[in-house]
Amino acid sequence: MAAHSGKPGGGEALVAFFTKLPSLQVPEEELVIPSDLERYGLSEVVNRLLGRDQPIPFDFLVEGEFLRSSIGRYLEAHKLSSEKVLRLEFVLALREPEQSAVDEAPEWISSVAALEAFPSTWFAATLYDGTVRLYEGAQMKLTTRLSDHGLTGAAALPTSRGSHLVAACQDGTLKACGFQCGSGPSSGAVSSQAGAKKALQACAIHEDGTLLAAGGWSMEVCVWNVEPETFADETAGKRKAPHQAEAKFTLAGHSQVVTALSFGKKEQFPFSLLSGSWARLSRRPDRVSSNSNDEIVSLSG
Amino acid sequence: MPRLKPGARARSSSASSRLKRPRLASSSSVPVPGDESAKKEKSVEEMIEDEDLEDTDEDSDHGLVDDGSSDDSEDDAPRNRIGNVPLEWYKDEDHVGYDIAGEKIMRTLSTSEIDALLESKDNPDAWRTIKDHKNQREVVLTETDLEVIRRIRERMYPSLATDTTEMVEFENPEARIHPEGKAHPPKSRFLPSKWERMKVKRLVSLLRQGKIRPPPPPAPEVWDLWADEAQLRRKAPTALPAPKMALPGHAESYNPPSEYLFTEEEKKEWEETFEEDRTLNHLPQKFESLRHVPGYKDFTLERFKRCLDLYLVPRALKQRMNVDPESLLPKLPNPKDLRPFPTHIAVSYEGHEGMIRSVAVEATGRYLATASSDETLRIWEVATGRPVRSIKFSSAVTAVAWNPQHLMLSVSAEENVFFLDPQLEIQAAPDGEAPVAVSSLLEFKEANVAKPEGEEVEEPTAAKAKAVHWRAVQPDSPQHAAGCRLSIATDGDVQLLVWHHKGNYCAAVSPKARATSNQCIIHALNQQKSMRPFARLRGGQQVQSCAFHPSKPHFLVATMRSVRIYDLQKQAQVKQLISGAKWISSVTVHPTGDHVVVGSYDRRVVWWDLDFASKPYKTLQYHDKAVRCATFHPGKFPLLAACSDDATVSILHAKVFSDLMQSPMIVPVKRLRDHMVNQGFGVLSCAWHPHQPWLFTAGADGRAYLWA
Repeated sequence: MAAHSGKPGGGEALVAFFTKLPSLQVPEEELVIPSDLERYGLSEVVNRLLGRDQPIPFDFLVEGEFLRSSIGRYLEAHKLSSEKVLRLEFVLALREPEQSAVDEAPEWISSVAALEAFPSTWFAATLYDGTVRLYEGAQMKLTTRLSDHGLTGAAALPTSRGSHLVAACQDGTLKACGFQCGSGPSSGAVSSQAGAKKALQACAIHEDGTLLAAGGWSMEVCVWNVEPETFADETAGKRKAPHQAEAKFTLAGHSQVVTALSFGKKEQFPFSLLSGSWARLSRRPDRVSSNSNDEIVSLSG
Repeated sequence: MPRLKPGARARSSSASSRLKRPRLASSSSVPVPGDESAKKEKSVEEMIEDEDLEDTDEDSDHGLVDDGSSDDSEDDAPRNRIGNVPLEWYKDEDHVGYDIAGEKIMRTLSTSEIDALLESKDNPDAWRTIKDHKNQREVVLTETDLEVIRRIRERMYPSLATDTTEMVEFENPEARIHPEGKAHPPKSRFLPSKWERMKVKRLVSLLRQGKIRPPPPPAPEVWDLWADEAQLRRKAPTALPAPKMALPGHAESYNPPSEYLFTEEEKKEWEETFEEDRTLNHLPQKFESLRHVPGYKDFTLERFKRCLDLYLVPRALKQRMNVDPESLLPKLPNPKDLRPFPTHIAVSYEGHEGMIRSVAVEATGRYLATASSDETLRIWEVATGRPVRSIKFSSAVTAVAWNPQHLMLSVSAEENVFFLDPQLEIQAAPDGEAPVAVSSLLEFKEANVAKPEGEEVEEPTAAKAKAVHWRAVQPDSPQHAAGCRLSIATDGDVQLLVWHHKGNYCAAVSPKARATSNQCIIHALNQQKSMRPFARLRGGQQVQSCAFHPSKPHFLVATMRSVRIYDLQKQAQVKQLISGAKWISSVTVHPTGDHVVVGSYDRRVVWWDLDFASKPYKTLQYHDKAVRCATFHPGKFPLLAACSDDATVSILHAKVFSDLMQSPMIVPVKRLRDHMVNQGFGVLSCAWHPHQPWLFTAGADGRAYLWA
């Protein structure tokens, strides 16, 4: 209906808008619009269709993916005909993030992990002085010291009561601790897994909660079993010495520092551990290492 | 002389047969051909005749000895003395003449044919008998005579005794060595012929005039049917006419409109330009009427110039090469194909307040050390940029270098060199050997102090050289707390520290040391001694930089103009590389060990291939200001970085081929521009990450960057 006259040099395309937002429905009619419109232009069209006084910024999805170029370029890239109707779903556009609060930590923060499944309000930040700070939203709730030496990487697994957190430490051990998030957050006992010879850089927890992996400057990946004492609660008198565990096995093969680890989703990668280093990305299904891709994981600022 | 008449026979007198005949060596009788039957019968008679002959011959040798009678022998004299009177005057007479006594010689010989025939049949010697009608006698030829006749007929010398070798060789031109006469040969025989010259001159002038043509070449008997057609003639240069003279315009008018007249400025401008460049030859002038117009003084000159243009000036079309200048440039590969190389800043290390003099990266690539003029040495984590250590010294820190084998540093703060252990390794397990070794390495050994004369006196020429002392750092000093354990007091500010790849030797360069031997000192860590191998440098120039060879026991010393390569084991100079650069700032060796690159303060980067002679392979000039530092990537990436005082770093792709046929390919791929110039200094130092294509740069603006 609203047929804009095409600019010279621009083509035209047939689109139809729909949305899942209940309050902002538009009739699903085919419109002819110039194909060089991008998100802003399309948002203007939808606002005009809605007839609102204050325009709402919308973002558009095509086939489940955000449209990040103009319609004409999308059609060219996917070799679609401009005669066929393109169904665009519009959603509310995300604004730029605003800084609400700043918490100054005494040392550099090495990594941040979400303690619950997304969207999570609880976050843990590991610092270079060996402590972990828990945040609920923007407020810091708890500080726990895991080690005397710096912590470089962290990974968390949400559990029924809170979360299990592991942190890679610069003295070559993997520190594990259980946290309870809630009105009164508390942390459990700190256990450390030894086995790496040099400082660790990255760590990961399996989805099941059964395996822990860590890698670092010794260019090896160590894997540990999770035992009941790993994420134990805080014992009353701390009678037992802090738990120390040895690695189940060690995977070698990287030529440079291991900087990323991930166990992968259980459905897609049931028995594999993905590890990335400054030289290669390799995937090791079930202890048999096979270097599938040679990819330089380059450092970006 | 007996007449040659075969068939006539007369017994000749011995006298007649002896007429003017050389003596016969052997008289072999050869009969006249055609009468061979008579030959055999005559053999006895011949012998008798021969004997007679020989007897008479022996009596006198007429013809051989001149006794005055050779012309006229009484036996051979003609009997008839009538002389030249013809015999036919006596045909009717009964006598034929008169002999010497005056008596008539009567006709006795028969002249009839029948008698002759009968004679020939009866007389066996008839064939060799001759009837002498004038003298009325019959002469019989002897064998000797016959032999002579035969020889004469065969064109041989009549007498066998004749010496056939000519006394005068008439026919051998080479034997004519004696002059034929007494007279001198005329000069013209030795000069080119005058008459021939005149003839030739005449012919030449005729040729030149064209009246005579040189003979045409002979028509070929065979010719190539498929030979090329006549060569295409080149066209003569086109006759370019003289440029047309411009028609007179309004400015040439005697009363031009006022806008054509020159203003003062235009007049001045006109006077200042050259005559050839002027648009108008004259100043436009305004006159009231035609009669006020004066004569044009340049008229003759202008006509003369035009005439020169018309007939004297050679004109030719300028041949312009239609070559695209881009095609002359060498085809270098696209930088996009030569990735990876650093292009942008990945991490910046902020914290220094003064100029950062030197930057060094640890062997594993985890830590970075920067030395600055604000008297601090800072150690950073490479990946994050987090400062790990900051160590304060009492003077500006000028150079820093990590030990390749152990986690320790050598730092220089002006005249002191410190070895420090930054205690970066955190090892709980006892199996880590590194920290134990480092601390034991840095324990001060008292034994060396007890012998102060040990090292320094060995150099006799270092009379004024300040001695080099190793000391332990005082435990209560701030440096000790930071980790320094050993210190060396040297002479002159140390500008550069370089470690040997085995981690035992550290070379320190102080160009401003007063003594030449102190300019380059090699400190041995294990033995805690310092060696000064270059007591006397030939050329007497300052040492500017040094480098260890990556594989051989060679040491490179760069003075202001040249680089010398020494073999430390043999203690001899191996090579000297001479560059055109006036002041070398840094030297670096390729990891393969075959190429040396030098950066110099006159903006040049010079590359030597050590397989060649001492002349450089390439000299590159990519900077506008001095090149402070040039380094090769120590790992497997073919990269060369050169940083300069114009605050840029040029990254070159320097591919070295292992086969000797190909020379290294050097392609500039990137220029890194984020530093700023501070007090005339730009980027002071650069270092490559050991195994990633990342570059660390240290700038005079107090910033250190990691480029990735």
